Amino acid sequence: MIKYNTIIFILLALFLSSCDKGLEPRDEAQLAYLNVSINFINDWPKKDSVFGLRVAAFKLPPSESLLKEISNGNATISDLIKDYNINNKDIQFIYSDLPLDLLYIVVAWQYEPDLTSQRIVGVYNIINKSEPGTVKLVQGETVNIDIEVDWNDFPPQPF
Amino acid sequence: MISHHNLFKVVLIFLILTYSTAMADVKGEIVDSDSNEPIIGASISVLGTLIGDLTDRKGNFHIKSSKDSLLIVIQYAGYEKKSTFVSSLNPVKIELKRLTYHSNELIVSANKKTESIQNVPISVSLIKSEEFSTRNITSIDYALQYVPGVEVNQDNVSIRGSSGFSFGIGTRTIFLQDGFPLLSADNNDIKFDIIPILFIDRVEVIKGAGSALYGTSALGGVINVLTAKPSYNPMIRARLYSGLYDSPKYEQWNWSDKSLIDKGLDFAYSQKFGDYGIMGSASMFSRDSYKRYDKSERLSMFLKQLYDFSEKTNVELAINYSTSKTDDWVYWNSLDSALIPPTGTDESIVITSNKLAVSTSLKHILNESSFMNIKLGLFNTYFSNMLAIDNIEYRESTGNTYFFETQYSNSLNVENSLITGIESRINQVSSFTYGDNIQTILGAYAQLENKSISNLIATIGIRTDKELLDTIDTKFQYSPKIGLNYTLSESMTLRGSYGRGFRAASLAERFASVQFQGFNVIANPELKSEISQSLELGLSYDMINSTDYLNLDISGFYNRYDDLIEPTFESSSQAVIKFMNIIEAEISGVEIDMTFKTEENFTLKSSLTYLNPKNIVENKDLKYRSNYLWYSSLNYKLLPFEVQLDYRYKSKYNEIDERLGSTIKDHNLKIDAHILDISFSVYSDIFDSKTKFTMNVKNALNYYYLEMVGNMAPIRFLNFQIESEL
Repeated sequence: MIKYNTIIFILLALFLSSCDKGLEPRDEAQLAYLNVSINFINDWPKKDSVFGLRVAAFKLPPSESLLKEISNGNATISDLIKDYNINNKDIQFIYSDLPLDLLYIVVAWQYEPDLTSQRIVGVYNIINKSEPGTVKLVQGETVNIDIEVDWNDFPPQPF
Repeated sequence: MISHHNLFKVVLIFLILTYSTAMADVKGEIVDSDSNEPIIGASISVLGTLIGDLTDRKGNFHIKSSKDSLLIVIQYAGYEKKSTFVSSLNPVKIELKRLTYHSNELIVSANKKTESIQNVPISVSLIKSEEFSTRNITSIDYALQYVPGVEVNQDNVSIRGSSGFSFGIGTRTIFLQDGFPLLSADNNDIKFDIIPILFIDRVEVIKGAGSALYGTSALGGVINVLTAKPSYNPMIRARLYSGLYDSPKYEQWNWSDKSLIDKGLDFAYSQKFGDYGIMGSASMFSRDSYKRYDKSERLSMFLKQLYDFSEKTNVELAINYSTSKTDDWVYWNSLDSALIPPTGTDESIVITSNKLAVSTSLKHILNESSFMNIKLGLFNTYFSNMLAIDNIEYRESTGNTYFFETQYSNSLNVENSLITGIESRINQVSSFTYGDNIQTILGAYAQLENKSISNLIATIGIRTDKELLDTIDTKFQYSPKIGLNYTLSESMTLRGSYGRGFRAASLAERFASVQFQGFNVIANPELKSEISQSLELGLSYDMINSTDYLNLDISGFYNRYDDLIEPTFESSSQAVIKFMNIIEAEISGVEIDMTFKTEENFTLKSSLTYLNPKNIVENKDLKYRSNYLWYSSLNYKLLPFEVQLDYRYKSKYNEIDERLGSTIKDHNLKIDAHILDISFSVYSDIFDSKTKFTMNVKNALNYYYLEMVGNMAPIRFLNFQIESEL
């Protein structure tokens, strides 16, 4: 007779020993949060020219296209903001690779579905739009910043 | 005054009644020769005719015939096939002898004819009807997840790595109900929810290129759902189930204070009255889901009517209908909030979807050696996200597939048989999303089976197809196949096959112009058909002793793909996706499938599939394919109790599309999957009905893994089910 008890035991042992708990969320104490509050002033452009807005945060000032900066890990971008004609919008970034300095944080106007069709319309700064501010993030801390988007006065473009 | 029209009706009814009353009733009972217990579901067919019956739960059958004496053939899996003469004068009691081993299950679709599974030169897996209730299967896609070598990710079915991930668009597995294709005209995707679960007799999964008989879409394999036949004794069957999801282990993932419940009700009735048979079913399903913005509601109905014009001619008409409303979940917010959609998602958008399939077939036996089968079908699909038409994310499509096939089968002589046929499929799409297009695919096929050499069955066949479409000049596709099946001994069979497959690009892949949740899909009208070459060698071995049965099936396979169509990010932009012919690929592998049964009703099944899916152009693994699939199940019946454990292991994907990172957070997580399902059933005879109470736990280990990028697989789910048959 076939020793099926042995077969069952081997199979059970194999799969039970191979299991762990699977995916898990990151420990909040090891994360840092960046809350960005965007304030819009002056009249918005025509609705059909606003596909959406994104917030982009760079570790180093960008030297190449936004897409390359994302793929080489220098930049993180928010989901597309599809609201129109609003006065304020809050966005949150969560970081786990800490500590981290963000040297250039901007709001980008995306006028077409193509991610390359973007223009910087707001930049985080402390003094003026030509001098981007730096944010330092460490584990367990939350940093709140404001960015102003003046539809009549855009900051200098990075390239 | 009676009009000519009414007079015709009266005459017709009179003729039918006269004919019916002239019919003889042949009744009988089929029992196990050892235990004298009735055999339920045994197939009885009258030789040389299309008439027959299935035994009811008391083992009884009932056949009406114009003759007083009939030669009938009785078949049931696990028992010896028996032929005997029966008469209308006296009810008969027929004893079937149990085989010492339980193989030789019948299949039909691999070669478009009924034959033993051991005579087929390619790998075939079966899902039997009882597996649907034990595992609380509410949709076919869930049942397919237990089939060796098959992976199901959302609506994508991948047989031995044939498909990656494309939201189900452009399936490489043809999906059939009783031989009728049920693929939508626009997406060419599988609509699982239209199938009447309670009427499924079995599901056959054929692995490897099947285009030589089935044409386009059978690139990676064939799934054929076979519905049961009505019996003279009425069958009333109902199933009620409800279950709830466990709370996530981590508070960060907990998004609801309410209990999240999935529930449903299925009802089915069938009966045969004289020459007429009817089957009807309805199903309702409601899902809260474990994810926010992933609810759905569904209503499905099925009606099938059968009529025997004579002992040699019958006709069937089937209507499937399903309507659903589903939230438009696409991917998660992030790993830290894995069960909610991205911030800013408009959660009021609901996808409304309707499907209607009407199919009819006429079977006619021409003479003792040949018969014809004519099939005609329509499959209508509609979906819309119900946004305003000027909204940039508006999606809507209506598609109609018109299907026609004529098949002629001839047993030329003792050694040779021939199957030939012609087929046409017209996909007509009128869509905001995919434009207005018509795609026509015409095909013709022939297959010869030869048994002139002792112990060898040789099959040779070819099919040619031509796609007609305005945007592209297409070539004729020639899909040859050759198969050899050699019986080495009573317990060992060798098989080998070669086949070519092709798939014409779907209208969605060619003409999609759609934006949704950060993705922008653009059209590529120039897409060519993709081609596959499939080679398989297999060995089936039965080890038998007086109490136990072991079947071991080992197959090695090699599939080569050219012009494989994959959704590809445009190089100029990471947010724009286009379907392109980009890949030359090969998938080689080995599959070992074992079934072990004991006399004490203990069954162990285990299969291991190793896949080596290579993108030849880039010299790396194909995206979204596992290297190892290991599926096992243990079943023990000690009536009235039954326990079943199902375990599935899927190794993590080596390759995914890294550019998804521009849209989906934490896109690059990769993890093996371990899924354990446990079922416990109790059988009972209450109120003169056969009732089964089942409790099952899906993902009992509450193991958190990914179905796809940005998509957490279902968490632990506890379900209760009552199924009763009168």
